[in-house]
Amino acid sequence: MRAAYAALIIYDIIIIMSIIVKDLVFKYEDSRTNAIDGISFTINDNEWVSIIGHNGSGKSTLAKILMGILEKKSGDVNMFSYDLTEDNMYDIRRHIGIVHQNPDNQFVSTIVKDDIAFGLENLCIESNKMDSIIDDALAKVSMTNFKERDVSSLSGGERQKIAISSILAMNLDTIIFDESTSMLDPYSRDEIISLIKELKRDGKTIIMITHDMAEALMSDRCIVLSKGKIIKDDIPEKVLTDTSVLTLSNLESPRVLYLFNKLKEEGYDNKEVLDALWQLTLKM
Amino acid sequence: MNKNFVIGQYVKGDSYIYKIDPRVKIISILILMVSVFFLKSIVAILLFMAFVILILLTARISVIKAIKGIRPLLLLMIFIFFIQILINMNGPIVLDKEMTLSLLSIGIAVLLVLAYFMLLRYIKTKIILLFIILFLIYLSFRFVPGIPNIIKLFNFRVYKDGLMTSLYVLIRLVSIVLLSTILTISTTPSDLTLAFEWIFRPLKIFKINSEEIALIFTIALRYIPTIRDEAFKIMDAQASRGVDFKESIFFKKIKQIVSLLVPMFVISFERSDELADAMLSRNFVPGRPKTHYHQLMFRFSDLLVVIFSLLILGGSICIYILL
Repeated sequence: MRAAYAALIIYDIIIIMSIIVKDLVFKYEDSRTNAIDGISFTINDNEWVSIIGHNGSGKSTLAKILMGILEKKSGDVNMFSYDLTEDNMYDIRRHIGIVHQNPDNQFVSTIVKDDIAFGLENLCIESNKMDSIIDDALAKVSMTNFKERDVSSLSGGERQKIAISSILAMNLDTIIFDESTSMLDPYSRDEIISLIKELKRDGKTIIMITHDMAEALMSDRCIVLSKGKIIKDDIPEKVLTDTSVLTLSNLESPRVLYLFNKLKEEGYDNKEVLDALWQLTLKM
Repeated sequence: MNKNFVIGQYVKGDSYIYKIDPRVKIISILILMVSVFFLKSIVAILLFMAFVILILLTARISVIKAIKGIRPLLLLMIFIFFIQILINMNGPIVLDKEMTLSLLSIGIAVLLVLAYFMLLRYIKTKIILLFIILFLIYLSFRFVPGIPNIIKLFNFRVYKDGLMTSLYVLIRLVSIVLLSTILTISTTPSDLTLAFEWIFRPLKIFKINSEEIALIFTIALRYIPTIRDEAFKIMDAQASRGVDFKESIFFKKIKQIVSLLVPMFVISFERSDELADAMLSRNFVPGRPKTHYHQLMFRFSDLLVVIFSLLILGGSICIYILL
C-alpha cells in the first residue's frame, strides 16, 4: 500500500506537473505549409523555458495551442496529466495562464479590481474570498495602491503588471509570457523581468516567448523554433554559441557575445578578460 | 471633438442617494417617471418638479452638473416648446402680431444670417447664437416699418392654452431628464450594469442571458477610452498627411469619416480577437455558471425608497382619477 502511494507521489512529481508535446502539427486554414511541423518537447515543473525564433516561426501559434485557443491538427499534447482536448480545456486552464504582448487587449473591466475578479468569477471562487485574493495578487506585483484605479489611466508597464497579477490571482502553476515585454520601455521591461524571476523562485513554471536574446539568456532552457520546427533545444549558453542556429532563426546575438567570439577568433587568450566578458553576456 | 469627455456622468459623493441599491434606484426612478405622466395640471407638475429639485438638493448633487445633463436635450426642448405654441390654437389669444415682409427687413435678415456665419468661428455655443440670430430676424420682421411694404406674411398669434401646454410639456420633460440625471450622476457605470443584469434576469425564459449582455456592456465601457484614443491617433496620422478634419465642406467630411472608420474597424476587430483569446485563457466559458465579485445588497432603507416612490405613483394616479 505504502509503495503504491509512494509510486503515486513520484508519478505526481514526474508526470502531473509537466507539459509533454509529441509530434505536434498545426496548420492554419488559409496556408499551405504547416505553422507547427511535428515538434516534440517536454517542460518540467518549475522550469523556465524560453521559446525563441524569428517572426512567423510558430512561437505564438504554439502558445495558442497550449492554451487551447487553436486546435491541433495531429500529435499528442499532455498537460498536467490531461490530454489536450476540448473537454479537458477548463481543467487545463486551471493550471496554465498567458500574458499577451499588448497589455491593452487583456482587460475586461474598467476598474483594476474588477478585472482581476473576472478570472476568479470564472473559477467560481466565493465572492467573500475574492477581496483577499485580489489584495494578495496585487501585493505580489507591488501594485496594492492601484486596486481602485481605472485601467485606462495606467502606463504600459503598470498595465502589464496588472495583467500578470490577474493571472497570479487564479493561482496557476504555469504562466506563458507571449512577448510580454516587447511593447514596454526599458525600465518597465526590467521590472517585468525581475517579477518573472521572482515567480520562478516561487515555484512557478515559466514559458517565455521572446525574440530578445538577452531575455532568453536568463532562462533554464531555450527552444529555438524556425519555420515550425525545433532547431535547437538546449541550455542558453550552448544556443548562443551556436552561430548556425542564430543565423537560421534571424536572431541577433548580444554585442558582448559578438566581442567575445571575435576576440577568441583573433587568438586573444587573456582568460580573465574572456571570463569577465562571458559573465557579462550571461548577466544581460 | 471634445478631448476630455468622461463616460457616464458619475460624480463621486456619499449622500443617501449614493447608498441606495442601484436596482432599487433604477426601479424607483422608473416609477417616478411613470407617475409624471399621470399629472395633468400645471400646478401638480410644478409641485413634482419642486420635489425633484428637493431630491437634488438633499442628495447634495451639484445643480450645475444636473443642468448640464439637460443640455443635450436643449434643442429638442426649445423645438417642442415652439411647436406647441404654434400648433395649439385653443383658448383666448395672448399675443397677436402682424408679420410683414419688406425690403428693409429682408436686408436686415440677410445681414444677420451673414453675421451668424461670421460669428460662428469665434463663439463656441452655436445653438445660443443661432437662437439670438433667429430672434433678431423675428424682431426685424416684426418691428422694422415696412416702407415699401411687399406682403403681409401672417398673423403671429399665441393662444393661452398653447402657452400653458408648451410650458407643461417643457416642465414634464425637464423633470424626467433631471430624474435620469440623478440616477446617472449617483451610480457608477459598473453598478448600473450590475443592476440591469439583475433586472433583466427574467428574460432567461426567452433564452436571453442577461449576464452575457452585462458583460458586453462592461467590455464596451472598458474600451470606449481605448478606442477613442485610437481614433485620435488615426486622426493625427491623417492630419499629418494633409487631411483637415475641422474645416471642410460636408461631402469632404463624409469622405474623411470613412478614412477614419475603416482603420478603426480593422483595429477593433483585431482587438476583439485578442480580447477573446485573453478571456478564454482566463477560463471564461460562455453560459457556464460563475460567481460574482460585486454583490448587490437589498436593505431595509431600500424597501422604504420603493414604498415611497410607489406612494407617489399612487398619489398621482389618484389625482388623475379625481380631477
